[in-house]
Amino acid sequence: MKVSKLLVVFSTVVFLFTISFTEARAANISIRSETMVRFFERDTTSKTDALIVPAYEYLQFDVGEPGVNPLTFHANGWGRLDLTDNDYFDDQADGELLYGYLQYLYAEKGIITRLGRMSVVAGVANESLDGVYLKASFSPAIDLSVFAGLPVSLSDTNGRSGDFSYGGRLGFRLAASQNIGVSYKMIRNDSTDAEEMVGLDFGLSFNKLLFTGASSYNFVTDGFAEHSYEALFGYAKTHFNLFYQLYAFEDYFGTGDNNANPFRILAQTSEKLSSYGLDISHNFTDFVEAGFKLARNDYDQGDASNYGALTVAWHGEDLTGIGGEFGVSRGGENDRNDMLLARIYGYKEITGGMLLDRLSCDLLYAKYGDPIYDEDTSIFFSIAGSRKIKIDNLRLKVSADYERGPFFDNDFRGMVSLIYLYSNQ
Amino acid sequence: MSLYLKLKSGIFLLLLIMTLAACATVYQLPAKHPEELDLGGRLPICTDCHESRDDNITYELFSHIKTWSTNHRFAAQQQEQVCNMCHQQSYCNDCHGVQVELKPSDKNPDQPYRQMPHRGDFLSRHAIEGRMNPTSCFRCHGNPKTAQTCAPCHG
Repeated sequence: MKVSKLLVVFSTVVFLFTISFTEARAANISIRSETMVRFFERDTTSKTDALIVPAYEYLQFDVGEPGVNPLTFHANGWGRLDLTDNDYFDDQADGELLYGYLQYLYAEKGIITRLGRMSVVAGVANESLDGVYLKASFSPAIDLSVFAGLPVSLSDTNGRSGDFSYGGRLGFRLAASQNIGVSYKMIRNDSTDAEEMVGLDFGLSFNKLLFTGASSYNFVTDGFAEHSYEALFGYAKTHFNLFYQLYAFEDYFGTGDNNANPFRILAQTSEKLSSYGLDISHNFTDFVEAGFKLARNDYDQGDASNYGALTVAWHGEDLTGIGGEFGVSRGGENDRNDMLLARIYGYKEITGGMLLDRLSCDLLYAKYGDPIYDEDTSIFFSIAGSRKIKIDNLRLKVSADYERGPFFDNDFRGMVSLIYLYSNQ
Repeated sequence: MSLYLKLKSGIFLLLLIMTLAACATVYQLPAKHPEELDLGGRLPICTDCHESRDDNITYELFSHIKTWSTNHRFAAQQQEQVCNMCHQQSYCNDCHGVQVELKPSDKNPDQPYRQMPHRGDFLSRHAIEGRMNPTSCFRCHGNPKTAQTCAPCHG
């Protein structure tokens, strides 16, 4: 990240924080800091098997509590320092402000306003934005959310001059749990239209049966991008989910400048994909649950494929449990999409442990139908432990991973993390 | 239309919306879930305590069943404020952040009970899963910033 960009981001955060300072004096201030140091070996341009030791800081900062304080401030971001100072991270950003916004919540009237950098989720919009967001309810039957600002996703594409994004979602509640929404988004890059979508989403409930889904239309390519529909049904301790999705690649991936490889290539095809299947989840007891998934992907031109998976998990009262997953995929020319996956994991809270008070492990095995770099299997094992350090809000976490497969002969990775939580109340 | 005129129209529209909304009386969801949930590694099934739906929330839609990690899109699109009752934006940003270098499973190796798609040898698996259905990759890696993790190989 360039210094000038950092300065702009920093001054915005300070500005927004200053506005909320009066409110903050009486409000809860909370900070979550996660400092991580990772260790692994990779080839760099100058060295084979070079030791890479990046240190990360993930910092979250909240002033005030939504619902308690009308005016609140929230920020979250990360930064990285390469302690070995080699060229491994040369082409990557050293950090990012994920969000930093001032929020005003008028709870009784359902008005939410946000100013700053934020994620916006509203119908067809799932964007990160430097701007303003407003959500308001006009009546029990109608609510509206609107947003406008600079799209963060395009900040590195031809600069920010001429960039602009706006849109919103109008939601209608026809009756109890009968929701329909119409949404729109426009993203402009360098004064040209990068993406323009309109969408319709719905959630319609009939007794215990729920239909939900969305369709979106791409104005730039002039075609329907997606139709995705689900039927959910819960009976006793069993949940069923039938789904159907239809994608037109030219319209779904054809989002102009707001796109990148490998999806740009897919946007140039006239391929259509329909994906459909069934998810079943069943809770045998309060502590044992199982899930089953069956999906089929049908292409207009390409090969069809099928995927099936079974999951089982047991949970104890505290943070203790074991689980497993088994999945198989089939289809494609030369067995290219054939794959078998098996996973076992466990985690345990250790009361009165001398070294650790939490321990977890994860084992994952994969077998590929078509060998990749002459290897047809991979294995991954991870073990992690953590403990509180004297005070409740400081935790030290240590983890080690091992991986062997097509891309790594014997890869060992390690990580040490320190998590600190602060609250003035 | 000039930028100045657009801004003026935008501000006018916002003020109009806020005025109209301030006059309305609507039931509002609480900002936080009324009860603290201590579930350990278990995922919350809303319908364990609530009916399938009431006048304000379709609880069935928000039950975190085993496939929740791949099925929560419509719930978030339609009623994001229900998500906000239990999760801060930072929780969603672990996967959906505009640029997050660490894979969620690398950042949280001590949480194997959470469904995270990139565990283990994902470098090999992503080619297969991407061929089978690339649309799920696009939702999180579909713009120039989020696709930077794909750029070293895919350009």
